[in-house]
Amino acid sequence: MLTLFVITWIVYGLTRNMPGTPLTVTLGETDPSRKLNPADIERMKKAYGLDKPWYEAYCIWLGNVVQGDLGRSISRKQPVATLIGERIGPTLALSGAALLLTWTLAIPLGLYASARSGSPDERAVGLLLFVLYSFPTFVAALFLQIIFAVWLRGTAWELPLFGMSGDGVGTGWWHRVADIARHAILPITVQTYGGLAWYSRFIHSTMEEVVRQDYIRTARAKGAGEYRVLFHHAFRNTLIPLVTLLGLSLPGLLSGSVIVEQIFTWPGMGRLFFESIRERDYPTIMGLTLLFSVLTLAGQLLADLLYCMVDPRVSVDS
Amino acid sequence: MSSRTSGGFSANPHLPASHTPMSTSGGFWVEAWHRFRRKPLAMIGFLFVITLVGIAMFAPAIAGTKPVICRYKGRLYVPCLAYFDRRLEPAIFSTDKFRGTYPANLTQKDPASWAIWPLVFQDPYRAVRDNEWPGRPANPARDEGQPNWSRGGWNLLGTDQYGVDVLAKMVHGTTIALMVGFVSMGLAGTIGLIVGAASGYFGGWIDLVASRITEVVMCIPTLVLILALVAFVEKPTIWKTMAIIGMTSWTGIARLARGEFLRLRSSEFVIAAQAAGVGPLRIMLRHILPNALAPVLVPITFGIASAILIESSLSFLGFGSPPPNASWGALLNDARSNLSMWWLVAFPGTAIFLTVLSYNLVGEGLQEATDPRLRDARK
Amino acid sequence: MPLLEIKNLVTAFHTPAGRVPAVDGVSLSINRGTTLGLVGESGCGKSVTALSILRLVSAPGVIESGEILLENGGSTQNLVTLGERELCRVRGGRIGMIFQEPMTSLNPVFTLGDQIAEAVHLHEKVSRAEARLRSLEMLKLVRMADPEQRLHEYPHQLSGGMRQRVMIAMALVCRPDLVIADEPTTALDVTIQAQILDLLSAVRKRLSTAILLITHDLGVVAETCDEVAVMYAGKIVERAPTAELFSRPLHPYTIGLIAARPTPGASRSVPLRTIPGMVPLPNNFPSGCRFHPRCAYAQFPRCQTEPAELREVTPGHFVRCHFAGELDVPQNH
Repeated sequence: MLTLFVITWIVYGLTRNMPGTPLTVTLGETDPSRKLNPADIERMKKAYGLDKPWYEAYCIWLGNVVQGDLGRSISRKQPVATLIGERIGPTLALSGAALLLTWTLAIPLGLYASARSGSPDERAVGLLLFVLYSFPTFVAALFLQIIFAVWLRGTAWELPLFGMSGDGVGTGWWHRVADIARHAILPITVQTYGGLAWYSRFIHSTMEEVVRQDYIRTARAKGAGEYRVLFHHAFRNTLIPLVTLLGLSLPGLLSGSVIVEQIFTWPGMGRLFFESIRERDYPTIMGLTLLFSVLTLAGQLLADLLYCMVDPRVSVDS
Repeated sequence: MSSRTSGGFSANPHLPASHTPMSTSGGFWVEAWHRFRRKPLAMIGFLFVITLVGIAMFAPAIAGTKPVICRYKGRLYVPCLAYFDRRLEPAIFSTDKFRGTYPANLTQKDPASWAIWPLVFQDPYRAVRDNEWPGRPANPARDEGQPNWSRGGWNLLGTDQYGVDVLAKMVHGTTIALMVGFVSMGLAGTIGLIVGAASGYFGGWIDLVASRITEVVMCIPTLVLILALVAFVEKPTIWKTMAIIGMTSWTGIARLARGEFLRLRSSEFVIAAQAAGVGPLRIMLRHILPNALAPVLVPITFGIASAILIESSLSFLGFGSPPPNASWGALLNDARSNLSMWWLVAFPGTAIFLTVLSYNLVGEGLQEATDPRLRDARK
Repeated sequence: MPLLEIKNLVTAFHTPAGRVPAVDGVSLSINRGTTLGLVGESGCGKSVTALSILRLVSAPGVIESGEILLENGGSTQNLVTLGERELCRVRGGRIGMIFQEPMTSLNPVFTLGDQIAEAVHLHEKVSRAEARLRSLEMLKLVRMADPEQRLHEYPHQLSGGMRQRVMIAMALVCRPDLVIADEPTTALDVTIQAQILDLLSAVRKRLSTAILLITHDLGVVAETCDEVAVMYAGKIVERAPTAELFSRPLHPYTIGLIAARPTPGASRSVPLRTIPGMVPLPNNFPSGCRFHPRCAYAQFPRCQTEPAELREVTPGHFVRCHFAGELDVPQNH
């Protein structure tokens, strides 16, 4: 709770002290001739509470938040809560799919690497994963865009470059879903591969660590076969750090990836955050920061809870 | 049987086997280096970084439009240093109205002059004009600027939409990529070690406050925090970006340092030093730090890789330092608006990728070379 | 026919620094229902010998040569060359094993009941209820308090001594013919040590299991073993029935070990005897007789050049010393 307070306080102070205000940035950029006269600016400042010093404005903002009001976006003329509500769906679809894909692929890959540890094929796969892990997301995104949207244009393999849905597709829900899926392939791929490499390497190295433990030798001495030792005795222990990671990935699920959403102009939360920083849209920045921080804390809580579930040595009350 | 000899084996089994503590730091580092050298991939990464340092140091001599050394009106000058800092450009060239164009001006204004030119006559900040180098056409701009190997190879890696040579930009961008890594992680390492050392060694309320601060910084998503900070900065420069990256990525190092200091605080040699009346600062610097350095060095190496990633992401998103920005990420940003210019993606993208990969390989090698478990695996 | 016979076992570790032969030509045999003590200092290769029997030596350790013959209904099977499936049947089924570290040898995420019952399921086709019953029975046999409740508890809820009891129950639940106990009491408190040793002896009598007891504690050997083998630098240096070994030790190393034991009631002014020098490391064994640099009697050039062979000096008493029985040794006992 205190952490939350400190974070929002810092971020509020920071954003309010950024050069430029939402009024000057948005209007000045769109059309210099339409610059507001000073009296209008004063009037609008008053309306959005920009005339007060930032700490005072923070207290007002905090008071509203406690009452469940996140305020209105300055540049979009909409309540922040509505904006977030609009953006949460696309982000959830994108990062949910990516997260699911990451975990369903990473666990078998990590286990495969542990089972074949040291063999030439495992080393090759391991090296490939390491290379993938080092491959920057935005570079991969650009490469994929060039390949699928530029070089393969006009072929059956062409994939859309931007956005979440195209126009001119059929009207049935099936067509709409297929269209969105086509748009989502590249962003999902980009958001998945890095995590996939990281998680499977993590699983492998944790397994290596666990396999060195005495109780694994005990299991072997009992007569358990190699696969039972690995998948029953060792993996059950590997789950302990793994579920902690799962909990910590919760905030990423909703905050999305700023870079991926920005490159593919996916209408999600990450892009909303990026734009609101550009536009100095304080209420939106604050609303999103609050949400991200709450999610991060919730993720830590979830990680602790999951940890208690898989590790009998820790109990919930401690 | 003979009587007890000093250092001799006692058949009493309950005496623990003499346990050699970690050898002195010199021996430890030498041994770690030997282990590191045996890992081919880590060595390749290391050599790549060394090569990058070389490229960065000699960037003006590799690509530029200013002579490396020239003789003009009876004196020797090194105009290429201007690429490191504008103020290093000899004043005589601005009073003689060179306006940055050396080849023609040199021969016109002093026929007796001579110059040694960079390997590639291309500028990272502007397009080379027609006949600027005698007999060479102007750099092509827009889609025509694709890599050209046949025309005598004047734009090996192509040009961007304004006709600026990509190779020159990349060579000069190396400096930024390296500096980002070292400066921001130097800062992060310093903050992390100080915070971690203080909270680990002193404990108590210092530990409580420091851990709380670490937690808060950890809690804010990194990119969110950095974006907010970068937007907050009045005039973004590469130095401010580095400072911001450094100020946001010290938390992991602080946690590790805290653990190491906590562990070593109660070790025999520290207690012995305390008993001998050595002050806390001296104990931390002379006794604990050398032992805590190896585990902290690994996250710093990985941190360099991620700092380079963050800087290029920021430049890519248009949040980096303003033009002229020779950062590799800025080149990629140019590519976004025109994807058919694939060479603007391929070359800088590969450069970022290889650099990040190299640092990660070095970090991995370092981890294996200094891991106490693997070190003690000898039977 | 002995239950288990080890012939010329060589187990080496292939490290970057070179080949390290931790076990270098060990031969042993154990008869049904008897207890053999394998004694030696840390690093002499006794634990590696134990792990080699069940092929549990982990990389970079490799069994390079030798045979490990297990009697199997009239014929024998060689564990060194046995296939993976048959080996798993021997592990836990015909040979049980107890390890030194009870604190870390049990899997922390499974209940004790699950871990014991797993051993039953791995070797016999039984129902869950029956496996549970067998586990309960074993916990009673190893004299656990509250066995019913223990079945549902996790290892971290038990003390070291109790965990070692669980380990013993787990090793014995399939009624193996042989139990290898690798320093089963080293990590425990002295009072608990005695309890565990008593328990092992009692269980052995109940189930007529043979035991290979690995220890560095001569006192333990004197109390529990029928026969003793002394190991030094990867080799057996002396082997004899327990009473014979303690009354008439022939190898200078054994003599040194026995002399170095603190004897109750001895005058405090007399310092404990020690053996001078250090245990040689397996990658740097001395030439000739491996004990000669530390031997008080090795004034003969033969000791430095010629490796000593294991000889049967009197029936059942084997010694690896060129001059066994010829030395003028003061007898302790």
